[in-house]
Parts: sequence; C-alpha cells; structure tokens
Amino acid sequence: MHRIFRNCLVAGALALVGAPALAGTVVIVSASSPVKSLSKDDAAALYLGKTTSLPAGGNAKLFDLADSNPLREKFYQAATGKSASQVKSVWSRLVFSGRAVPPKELGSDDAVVKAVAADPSAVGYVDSSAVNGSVRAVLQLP
Amino acid sequence: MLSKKTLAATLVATIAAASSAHADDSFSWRFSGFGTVGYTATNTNDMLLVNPGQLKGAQEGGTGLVDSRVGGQLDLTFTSSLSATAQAIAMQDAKGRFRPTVEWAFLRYKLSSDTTLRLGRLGWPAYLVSDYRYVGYANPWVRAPLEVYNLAAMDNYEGADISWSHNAGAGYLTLQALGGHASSPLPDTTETTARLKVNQLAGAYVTYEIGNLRLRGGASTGKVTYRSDNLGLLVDSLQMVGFDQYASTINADGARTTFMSLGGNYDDGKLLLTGEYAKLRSASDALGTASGWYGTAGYHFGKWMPYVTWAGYAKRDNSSNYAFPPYPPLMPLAQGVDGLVEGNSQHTASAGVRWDVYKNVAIKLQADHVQPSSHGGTFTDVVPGYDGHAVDVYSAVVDFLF
Repeated sequence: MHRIFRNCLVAGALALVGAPALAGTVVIVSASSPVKSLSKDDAAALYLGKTTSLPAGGNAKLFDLADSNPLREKFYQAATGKSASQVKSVWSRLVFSGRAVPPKELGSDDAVVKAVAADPSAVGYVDSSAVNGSVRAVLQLP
Repeated sequence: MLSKKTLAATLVATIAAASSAHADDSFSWRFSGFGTVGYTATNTNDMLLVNPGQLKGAQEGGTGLVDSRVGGQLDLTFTSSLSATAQAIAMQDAKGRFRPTVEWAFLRYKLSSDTTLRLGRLGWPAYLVSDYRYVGYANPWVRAPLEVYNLAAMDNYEGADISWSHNAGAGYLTLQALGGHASSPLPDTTETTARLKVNQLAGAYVTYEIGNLRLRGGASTGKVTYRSDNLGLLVDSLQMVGFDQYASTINADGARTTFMSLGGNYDDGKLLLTGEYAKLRSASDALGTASGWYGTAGYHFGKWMPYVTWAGYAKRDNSSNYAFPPYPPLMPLAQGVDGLVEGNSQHTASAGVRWDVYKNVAIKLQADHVQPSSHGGTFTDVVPGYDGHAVDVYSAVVDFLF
C-alpha cells in the first residue's frame, strides 16, 4: 500500500518533468524551425552573446522580454545563473565594443510567441502557459 | 598600408556589393549610451592622478575631471551581413578639455557565418577590456588598473581587422588579425601637446570562452613615432654636442615597438576573478621596456559586490647605457636623458565596492593605496624632489547606461 502510494508519487513527478506545458519558463522556436531541442548551455550561450549560431546551423534571431517583466530576471537566473544586471553588464560589453546588438525586446509573452512563430530562425522565452501550436518548446526551465 | 582613399573606396564597394546581394533585408538602427559621473581625490599635492592621455588630474582638493565621461553609439544594420557602428566619447583629453571624439566608426561585413571583416576606425584590442574600458558599468573597477592600462596610451587605429569565431571543444574560439595605422595626441610636460604615431601597425589576438571563463591574448607591433617639445629638444641637443648614438637610441622616430598582453576573467554569477599581464618593448629608450599586471577578485552579495585588486608596474632602467663625461655644461643634458631612461615602478593595493542601485545604474566606491617609485609611477606632474612616499586615492563614481 505504502509502496504503491510512493510509486504513484514518483510517476506523478515524472509526468510533471515530462510535460513542458506545466508551470515554468520555456524557450521556444517556431513550429517550422529545424531546431528540436536546446540545452541550457545552448540557451545561455545565445542569450549571453557568446554565439549567434543555432546548434542546427544558421543564425538565431533572439527575442527578449522588457526589463520590467519579472519573467526576464527568472529566465536569466535559470538559464545563465546571472542576475539581470550582470547580464546587462555582459551585453553592454558586447554592444559598446561594436560586436553585437542585443536581442529585440517585446512587451508581452504573446508578442514573443507571435514573433517567434513567424520566423523559422527566431528564439524566444515565455511562461509555459503562453505556448500554443504555432511554436515549439525546446527547453524547459524551472 | 591602407590609405584613407583606398579605405573609402573599399567601404563604398562593400556597401554596393552587400546591398545588391541582400536587397530584401530590412534596415534597422539602434542608439545606446553610457556615462560616468566621478569624483577623485588623493592625499598629496606632489603629483596628479590621471587616466592615460589626460592633462589635468586629481590632487588633495579632488576633481571630477578624471573619470567623468559620456559616450554614445549608433548601430546601423543594413542587411543581415552588413552593418555600421560609430561611437563618440567626451572625456577630459590631452588638452584638458571635454571635447567629443570619434572613438570608432566602422563597417562590419559578415563574409560567412564565422568570419567578419571590419573597416574604418577601430578600437585597438590590445587589452582584455580595451573595447569597453570607458564603459564604467561594464567593468568591476572605478577605472581600469593604470599599471597595465597606462603602458600603451592608444585607443584606436584606422585600418581593418578580420575575425573568425568557431566552436572549439565545449567553448568558442575567436581569432582576430588587424592592420592599419594610428595617431593620438598625448599631453607633454610642457603645455603644448605631444603626439604619438604608429605606422605599419599589425596585430593578432586569440580569445577562448568556455563556460564562465574568458581568456584573451595577443600582440601588436608597429613603427612608433613620438614627438614632443621636450624630446625634440633633447635629441637636437645630443646631436649638437656629438652624442649621435645616444640621440638615435633615445629618439622615437619609426622605432619598432611591440606590445603583448595576456588576460582572463571568470564570473560565475557569484565569484569574479580577473587578471592581466602586458609588456611593452621598444627600440626607442624614450618609450622603453615596461610591463604591468593586476589581479582582481570580487564576490557578488545580491546587488553588492566588494572587490580587491593588487597591481604592479615596472619600467626597465636603461641609464647604464648612457654615460656622460663629468663636464659641468653637460649636466642638464645628462639629467634630461636620465629622466627619460631611468627605471620606474609602482604597486597598488585597492579595495572597493560596486552597488547595482538601479537596473542601469551602478555606484562604486574605491580606495587605492599606491606606492610609486621616486619617479612617480603612473602619476604625472611629479614635483622635483618627490621622495617616493605612498599615495592614497579615493574615488566615487556613478556609472549608467541609457
């Protein structure tokens, strides 16, 4: 009895991990993108400006949420281990050395979903509740 | 050597080629700015604390002239492979004025997904933080450690560079090669302004980034001409009294000069470690052979980051190569030569704290305990008879992005 109960808990926990649509932040690409999955390191390298290339090849076009959006701090903390102001420092180094232009900022999760859906090279991140059929979740973050 | 005419012609050709190749891509632009409001004071009136290339500096009374600056940058994206960047900075210069200068203005063309060509006025990437040393917000310290950043006082050059980036193991490798020429004004000890010119500048740099670690190293070489009233007078006088050999080893007139550097930084979001070593070696004894290094450690406690830095600088003493007969009329000349070719050194222990007070604003407080040699280390306008006492420097800055 006790064991069955515990097994149920384990199965439930596994189901939670397996379903990307549950609470958390997800990195998304267009449903027509060749990218099937991204690792946390891939996402960190893209969003810290270390690379502009997607693992599947081609250049990524990144979308970001506005400074005021709390999900932004949550995403950077989870993907890169850095705070939003540390990430700002990193990007100011890239921008003011003329090496890169930071990701385009959009006002809401829905705007990010719409922009990513429209471009096969786009990458964005949103709250998992905003995901619909036009985009594919390629990385689940807490 | 890339003349201005060939440069302009190449730029036009590049734009034409690129815009016809990607006629359907959309144009976009972006303006970004940065600045620092700073105040610096020392505990002595025997010398001035300056950033490299500045005329006026900090003494006991304190001043905002050393670290205060404002910069703006315009990025234009024409196509997915062609873009242009221009950056201007206003900060106190070699004439003691705040006049904006074009720090860089270049075209960037992506030859392939790995390879980028840039043409125009480019930042000289000699140091670990060369590209963003004036962006206070991007750096841990109040100012880049002078023991290293005072070795070669040149920020930009006219020319071209090509860089290649690729995945290497678990990290990213970037190779960069550059060529061009440069000219920058420097303050002279007399009130007129001296000038540093570099011809046939060539350099190569390697950057490797893996996880939270970034390593960078490389070297540049060029023929350096340094002109100032003081140096000119000294060289003329040496030739007049028949010391032609001394005149030629001191004079910097197309003197082969090499600058190498090696540095790294590590930032895992909590712990910050960064350090750098650089060495200048010149055929001219007026420029000399000098090296500098620093190490910085910091730790992030939420929005606060206390840090400490230890730095050193040493210039080789070449005075034993210059012997004058003990003839009184030659004394001033011998002293002038000694002043240029004698060794110099400095050590600094610094402690400071950075506070990220707002999303694009940081406040820093820093105290430096500096031990220069009796030649004054990296300080300028050192009073005659200075005994080599230690100097304390106190700085407070507000760094911002806009």
